[in-house]
Amino acid sequence: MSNIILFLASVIALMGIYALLTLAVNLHYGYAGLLSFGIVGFAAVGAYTYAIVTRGAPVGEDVYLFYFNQPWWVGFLAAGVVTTLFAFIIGLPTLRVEGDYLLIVTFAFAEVIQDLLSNEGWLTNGTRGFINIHLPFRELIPGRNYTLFLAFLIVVIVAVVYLIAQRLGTAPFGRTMRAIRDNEPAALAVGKSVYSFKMRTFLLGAAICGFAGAMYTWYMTLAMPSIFGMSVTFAAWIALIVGGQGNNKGAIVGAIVLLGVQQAIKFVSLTPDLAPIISSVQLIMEGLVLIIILRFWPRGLIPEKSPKPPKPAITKEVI
Amino acid sequence: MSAMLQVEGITKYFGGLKAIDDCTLGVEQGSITALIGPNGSGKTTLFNVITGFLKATKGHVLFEGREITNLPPHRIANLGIARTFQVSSLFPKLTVWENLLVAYPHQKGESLWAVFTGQGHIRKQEGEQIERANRIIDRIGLAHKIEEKAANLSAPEARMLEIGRQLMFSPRLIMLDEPSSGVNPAMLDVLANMISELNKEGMTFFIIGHNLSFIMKLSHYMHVLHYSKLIASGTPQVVARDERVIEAYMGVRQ
Repeated sequence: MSNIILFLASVIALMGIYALLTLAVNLHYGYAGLLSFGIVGFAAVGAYTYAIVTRGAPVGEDVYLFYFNQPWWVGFLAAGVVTTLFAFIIGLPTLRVEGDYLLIVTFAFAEVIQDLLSNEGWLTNGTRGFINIHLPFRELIPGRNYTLFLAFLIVVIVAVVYLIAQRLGTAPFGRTMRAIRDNEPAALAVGKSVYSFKMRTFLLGAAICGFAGAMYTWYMTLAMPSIFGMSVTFAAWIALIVGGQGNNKGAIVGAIVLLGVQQAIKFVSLTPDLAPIISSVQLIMEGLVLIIILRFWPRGLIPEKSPKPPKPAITKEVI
Repeated sequence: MSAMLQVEGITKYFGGLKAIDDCTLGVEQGSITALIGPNGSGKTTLFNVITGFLKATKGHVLFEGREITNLPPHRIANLGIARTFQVSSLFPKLTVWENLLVAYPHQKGESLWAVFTGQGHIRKQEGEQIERANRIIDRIGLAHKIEEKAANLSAPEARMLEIGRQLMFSPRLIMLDEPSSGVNPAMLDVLANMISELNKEGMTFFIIGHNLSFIMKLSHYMHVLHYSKLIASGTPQVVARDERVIEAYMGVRQ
């Protein structure tokens, strides 16, 4: 019984991390129409920033040179800040050009980051990565119950980010983002500084990815180049398409559905010889979910809704 | 008195193609000025240069005495020049209502800082926005479609909404690129009435027109472009009798 609860807790933690990534994709693409495929790159930057900032001195065969021995919350904030800086540098030249170029550049960015992580050992400890990541409040909650606590902590963070994204989405800022997504020349013609809106959205989404990356190291208890592959970006995009673009509820629902399906088959069996099969089946399930959703709910499970106009103000007008 | 909008020697090349050749013209404050000419004469290109969507190769554009040549389009819009496009350019996934609200200038709620700290200010400003949008929605006759997505509007409705949206930021000059295209004859009268009403309230118009009977009735003054050159300017009566204009439209008399 307690095994199942722990399993569920770890699934919820992973769902929460993907929900954050999906919220970021939704900010970028669902709201602002930015074809952003560097999600995992930003998450990796966040994860490694967290690892390096909270790290102690190297031991054994470790080759990294920089470590700061800071508490977890310093690492967590640094993850957001450093990722935002990276996004600013990426966005500076690329947000000025049309959609497809951003896709290529962000895609390449994520690939380059993964290569750097493997090869720049002095900074990232190479392919060994960082194991035994510093976990928040680990010393207070020993033993297996920590998984429960971690799930709780992640859910709280997701809730906070959701509320922030929701506030942004319903504010005039969100409306203008959607307008820019729909029609850039028209947005310029009504005096919107398209570049500034895109940049701010890009930075916000990247910061969320950075935080999610740091949380991913808590979940995995390590940071390694191999866990920051392109499949993470694709999963977040699939989750957004499943859940519905242009609204934050859709992003959350999409992440829950996709991860739910993906993790459900882990229940089937956990014998070692089945493990490689299961990991392949997971990919098949991802594709299957996407196809079914696109067939029956082409706009996603929760389609974009516009806020209602204020009614009473209209009725008093003379018709 | 110098004109509200002054175009001085604007020349625009696309590679080796001369789209506008040394064009000088003005739009007087409070007037309805038309820009006509056969297809491909450079009318829309001139509009795009004035509003910053294209960079001029040579020449100057002055608005209310201020140099606006080659400023970015959103800066020019914020100075008080509203423009519409040849094909109505709306925000399709936004409702009619949102299409109007979004065009309000300098919204406090567009600053990230204000979104999280200044909800009160945002609401207060939203009140003004709603009031203005309500006035405009009645004027363009779309009050019953307020919750409709802009993508679902008919062509004339889309045209009215586009003009209405550009009214939202209280421009002083409105530049309409072929407002009559896609508008049926019945709606054309409504559109003409709206334009002359707004004009009586003090709005200046600069209109590209293909529909000559529509534009002749409406405008006070006309400029005629032909093969990238300005060939005539004057009142509709004068322009209609101008030999070069007749030639441009009808061909040379044998």
